[in-house]
Amino acid sequence: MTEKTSTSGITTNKDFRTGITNFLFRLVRVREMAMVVLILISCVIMSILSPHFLSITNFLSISRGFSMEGMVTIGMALLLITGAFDLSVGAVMALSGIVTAFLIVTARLPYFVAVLGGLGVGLTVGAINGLLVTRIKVNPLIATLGMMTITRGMALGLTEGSPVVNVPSDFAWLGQGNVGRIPVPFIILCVMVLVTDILLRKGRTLRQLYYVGGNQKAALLSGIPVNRIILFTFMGSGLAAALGGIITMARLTSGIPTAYAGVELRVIAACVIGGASLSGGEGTIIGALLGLVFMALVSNAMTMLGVSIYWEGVVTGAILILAVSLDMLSRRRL
Amino acid sequence: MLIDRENPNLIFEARQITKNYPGTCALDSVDFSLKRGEIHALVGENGAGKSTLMLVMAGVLRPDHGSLWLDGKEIHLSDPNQAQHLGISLVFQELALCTNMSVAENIFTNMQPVNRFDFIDFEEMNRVTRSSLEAFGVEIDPQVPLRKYNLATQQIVEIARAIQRNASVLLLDEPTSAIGSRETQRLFQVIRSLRDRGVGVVYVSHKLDEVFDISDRITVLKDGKLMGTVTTHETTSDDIVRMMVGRDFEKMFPQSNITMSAPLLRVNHFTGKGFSDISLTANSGEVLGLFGLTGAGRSELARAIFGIDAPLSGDIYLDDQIVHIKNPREAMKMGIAYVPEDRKIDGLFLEMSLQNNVGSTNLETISQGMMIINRKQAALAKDWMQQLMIKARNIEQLVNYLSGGNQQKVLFAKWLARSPRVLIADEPTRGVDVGAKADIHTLLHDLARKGAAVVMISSELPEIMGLSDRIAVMRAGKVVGVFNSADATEEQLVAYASGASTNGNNSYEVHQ
Repeated sequence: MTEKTSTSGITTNKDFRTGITNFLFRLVRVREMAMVVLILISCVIMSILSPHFLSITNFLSISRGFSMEGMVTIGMALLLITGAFDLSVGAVMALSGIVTAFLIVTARLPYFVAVLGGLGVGLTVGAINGLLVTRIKVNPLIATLGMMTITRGMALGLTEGSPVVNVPSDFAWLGQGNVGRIPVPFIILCVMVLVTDILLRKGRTLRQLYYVGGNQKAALLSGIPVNRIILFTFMGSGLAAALGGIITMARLTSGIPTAYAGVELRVIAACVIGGASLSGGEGTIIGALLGLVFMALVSNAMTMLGVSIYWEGVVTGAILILAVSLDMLSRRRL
Repeated sequence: MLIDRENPNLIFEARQITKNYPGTCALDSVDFSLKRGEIHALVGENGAGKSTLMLVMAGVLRPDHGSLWLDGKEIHLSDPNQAQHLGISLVFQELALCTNMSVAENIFTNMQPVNRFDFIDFEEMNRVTRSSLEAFGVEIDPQVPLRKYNLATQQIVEIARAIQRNASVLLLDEPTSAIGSRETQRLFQVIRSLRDRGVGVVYVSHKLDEVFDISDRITVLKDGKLMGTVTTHETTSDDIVRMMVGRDFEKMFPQSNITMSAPLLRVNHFTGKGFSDISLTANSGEVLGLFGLTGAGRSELARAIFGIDAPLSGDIYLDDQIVHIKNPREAMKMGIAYVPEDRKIDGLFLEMSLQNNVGSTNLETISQGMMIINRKQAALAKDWMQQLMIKARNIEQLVNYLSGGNQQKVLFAKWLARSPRVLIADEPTRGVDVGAKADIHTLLHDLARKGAAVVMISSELPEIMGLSDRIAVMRAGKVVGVFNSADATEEQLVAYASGASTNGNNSYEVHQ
């Protein structure tokens, strides 16, 4: 990159140079990169503190643990981008697991049909959430809070509070199995992340979510079907939660009505740490997932360091507030 | 009527458009025509119906009567998308952009170029964006989120977007309200080049100098009626001003002479965001009218006096004593009251009762120690409900369910109950019906005559002329003239406010 080149050479070199600085500049400012750096740093610290941390077994166990929450995180990130969120995902995970287990154990339906039934639960709850928000204009907080209570109540009511057990062990492969050494749920999650992230960056349809979240009125005036998009995103979120719930049920070979209570707030926190905003229009799938990975790492670290699991909330909450505060402060300067 | 129905040059026509709102007729059988390759300015006072006509032509509003014609064929617009598909693009006065998205993505909203996988072709999008923005001579990175740019740039992006949609009819509603003169000149270049390509441009502006600079024809609206369409180079700004203000009858305003008058509130070389170097005195006993166009800095001045926004420099004097007002609480303690422009956002607690609203600014008088005495609050509210003739079921009624005029009266009750020495009222009769309007006028007049200093910000000429004892005209953040209302003419005020008056540009004249 010297100036001692021909006229045409200078222009190309200049373009090249600005291209690279531009690229680096943007890379540093992207939230995902910050998250990756943060995760690497905590990995380094952890491997020094605990010799067991830097083992493939530990990583694979972490990955299986957060895969189901990861699926929910994808749906939640999409919703947050449109400017909404869904509190009912934890309850949907429980109910869809129970319904699928019911259909397998009691109704003795083929696995395929049972899974469809479980997914149907998520799709239905998502559709109701979406219709309440778009048609009746109920605030997402209220709509999904109500649906969360109803769905959780159904899970508890249908089972009288006790788990649905005796799910055949061959169904358990979905949650417990491996391909090579890689857990099946983690493979499913990776595929989901890749597809949604690419479609959200480049696909014309999913790209519309950002317009809706950025300025609903402007989106409407530009011919974007705002209500339909919000409705479908709620349905997608319900579907992702149902899938996570069914895989969890397979992993535990039982449908547990109290499973995943409180996961909705953890997932929203992960999305926000990864760059999403409650006011919409911001965030990416990869970012949200990295936020979740970071939270999983922190909880793993605390376990390994012998800190009581009961203290986890203190750390997670502090990270959430710190991430958002740093974001607000960096914005103020612009 | 200058419309030639057979003219093949006409690209777009609005015929006999009528639009009624409850209580007012926003447009009354208005004809408007646009030729291919023409810049047609639409002017009129606030409330003359310009924006309504634009919204009708863009398909946002549906007229009660009348028809729209494009290329000689009648069209029926049900929403703005349909208008856009037909090549009619409106650039909104308040920007309709997604500032979280990149510049390029805003220009290509919902019409992004895609490759064979149906993925958005960002390279192509950025390339076209860069080249189309070059025409404006502004350096904009297409990949940067729009929120990083200022309002002027955003305005240009919005216009570039309309152009990108291959508009054959471009409707611009006050496109220069947020941008400086350099950008304005660039914008004009682009508008002229669009005209030369055959695009018809409708240009709404308050700024007459701009209108004369850019337009080929001018149409004047007044009170929803068409006053006429003239060719720009055959007319003068005096003619246009006369067409804008010419009135059928003088409305009745309360009249009585000032009995006592002494300087009460004075600002000296007062400068802040949106206004600069203001020196102005409001006397007790008088109504001081503050006239100007939207964005002239009047509300900003009022907000700074009331301690909402911090001024940059200059002093405020009360009774010739210098005072420092850091926040509205301090202003209130000094006897200043501010009735804001937007009652729904800045003025009222819509989901609370009439009595709670009146009580909100009078907590000292209705409390004993730490406790609010309900009896006192109710008595205060009832008293003011009677005095201002507020039509409500009772003092428990939620303010949200009152009519605009009665809401405005509740807002005044809130502040009048404090017996202010200085009352600053920002557009005191915006969106209220005729009856309530007259009541509010009487109320402001009486308050002044009882010895308060009333500062009234208004964009309505009859109100300014009829109610003020003195009138200060602001333009672009400065006071450009102070008049005794008895000596001032409407033409004069409009000329000073719009910059059409040559000596009104920078001079500070006092006609007392």
